[in-house]
Amino acid sequence: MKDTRKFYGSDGREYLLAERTWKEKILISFRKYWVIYLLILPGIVSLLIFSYGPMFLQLIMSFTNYRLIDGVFGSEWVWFNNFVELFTELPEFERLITNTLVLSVYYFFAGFFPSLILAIMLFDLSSTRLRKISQTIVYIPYFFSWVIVYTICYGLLSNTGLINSIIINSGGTRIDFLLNAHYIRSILVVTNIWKSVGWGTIIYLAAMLSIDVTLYDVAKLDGCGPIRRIFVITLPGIKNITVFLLVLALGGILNGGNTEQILLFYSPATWSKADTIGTWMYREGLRNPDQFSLAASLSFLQSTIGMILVLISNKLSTKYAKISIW
Amino acid sequence: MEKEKRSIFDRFKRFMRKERWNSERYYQMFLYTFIFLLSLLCLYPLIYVLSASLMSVSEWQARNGIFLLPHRPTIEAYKYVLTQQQLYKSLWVSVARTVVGALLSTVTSALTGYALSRSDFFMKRPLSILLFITLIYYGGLIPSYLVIEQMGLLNTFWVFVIPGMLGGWNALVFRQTFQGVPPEIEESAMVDGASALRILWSILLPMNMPTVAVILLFCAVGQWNAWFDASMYIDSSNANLTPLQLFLQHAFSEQKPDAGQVTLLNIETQRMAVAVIGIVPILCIYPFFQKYFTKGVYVGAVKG
Repeated sequence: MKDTRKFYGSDGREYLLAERTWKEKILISFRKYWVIYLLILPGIVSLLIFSYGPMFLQLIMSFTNYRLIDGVFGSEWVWFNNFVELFTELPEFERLITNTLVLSVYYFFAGFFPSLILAIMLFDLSSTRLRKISQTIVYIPYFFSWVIVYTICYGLLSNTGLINSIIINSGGTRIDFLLNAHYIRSILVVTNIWKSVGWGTIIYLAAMLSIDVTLYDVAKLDGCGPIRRIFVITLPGIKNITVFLLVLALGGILNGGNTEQILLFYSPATWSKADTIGTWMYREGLRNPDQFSLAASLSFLQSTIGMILVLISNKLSTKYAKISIW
Repeated sequence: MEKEKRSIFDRFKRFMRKERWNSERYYQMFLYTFIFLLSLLCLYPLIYVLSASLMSVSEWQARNGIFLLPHRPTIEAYKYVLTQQQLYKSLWVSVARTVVGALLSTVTSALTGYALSRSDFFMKRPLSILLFITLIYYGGLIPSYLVIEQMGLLNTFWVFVIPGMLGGWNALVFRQTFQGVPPEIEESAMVDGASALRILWSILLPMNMPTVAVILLFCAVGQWNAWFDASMYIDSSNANLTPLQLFLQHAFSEQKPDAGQVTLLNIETQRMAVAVIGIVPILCIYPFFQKYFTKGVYVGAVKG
């Protein structure tokens, strides 16, 4: 478009094409793309209603005292009273915050490091065929639903399951893993690793393929061992993508793990160690309209702090890895 | 015969030579062992579910959960499960939401991504920002519930499909992918009289099959595996709108405080049979999409 603004007429003189006004631009763009505009309209409307509607409601509800009869917009405006009440009137508050933070940190490490280590191992494997086969296998669990993973876990870990049978046969005593608060966090984290470790390697492997292979040959000739090669060549080669994924993971640090998964795995016996903001919201918040405002202010805090964390970590990523999320 | 034996022996001798036992070999041995064990760990639960579903109840109880394969495989669990009306209703809901949801979501995201990748689209920047905010800010469970209630979607099929119609991430990935296509290709098509829709359908989508395939797969698997939305927005007594995963989840909810649903699957082998029914479709489509994984996911992550 830029070079057509100036042109030479048949008389040899220079002519300037007038810059189009934005009205003309819109008109032209509409004439060209009106079908597309029409087709994306439903999607945008649903985005506005179902993504922005809740954001807006959440904002209002966290500053009002929601009552069912008054509705969202008719309820009394109480400023920061809900946030104060969170600390004073919610008995589970401390437990929720602790569990959310602890589980978030666990999930952060579980989601980040195992995949990186497995990717390096797969990459260093000398046999290409074995690598392909094992890749195919380790990706599979990622596509199972949490309900099915729980079904499997129940079969393995329940009172009469595989692990307990092995314990009994070797002379131990039964442990009901799924109903024991000591084990619930480990179970959550291990199943999460099992499900997603393979899938997480894809990105790293793709990044590793772009590393210059001659670097490895040269390093071998110079007597550089396999472990040292990881630190000298592989890791620096995938530095950028690693930092980028780290940033993404940091953004989710307040999510309190995977609510959908925890809801399946926990039980009243294990609430003390696994009840997070997300699960409380589903179990208690949704049940009782009197607590809607309290719950909304809690999730408002969570979402807002989460967003600020993403923005901060993105700043860091842009600075150190030269990759930005947008 | 004699010769061959010697050559194997020689090869073995060469293999065992002292200078060959270096750190490289130890490292490779470690990798082989570890990855072999990990693959077993990923496969065993699958075999476990399948074997359990093929066992009779008495065998299941007798073997205490320790098994690799059933001694006397039977299909009695499947027989029982297949007599349940609920299974067919649930399968129908799951298939319908998978097909409708995945297609609708992929098409909407592709169209939005296409619009965002055009330099002469007049809402380009505001719409990109609008989509981006949904990725980093969540409106919360209870406000979402209220909105869906207000829109009259509670206890309808459309609650599975419409709220997540335009995936922000997917649309942004499509935008990045389409921007990578050289503009000359599109210009030449336009000179030949192709419309915007035609360019998208016949040029941009076929050129970016890995992205399309991965996004389609993710939407489909997401829909097939979803149970949380159904448990929130559908009454637990509404049998006609209970997806397969929720049907399976109900089998366990007897131990949960929020029970109240009628449990149909009390016996472990029957649950395993339903689990197998839930797994098989995924395993069937998996090989067709696998070749697109690396490229599609990488493009999506790095550029999106």
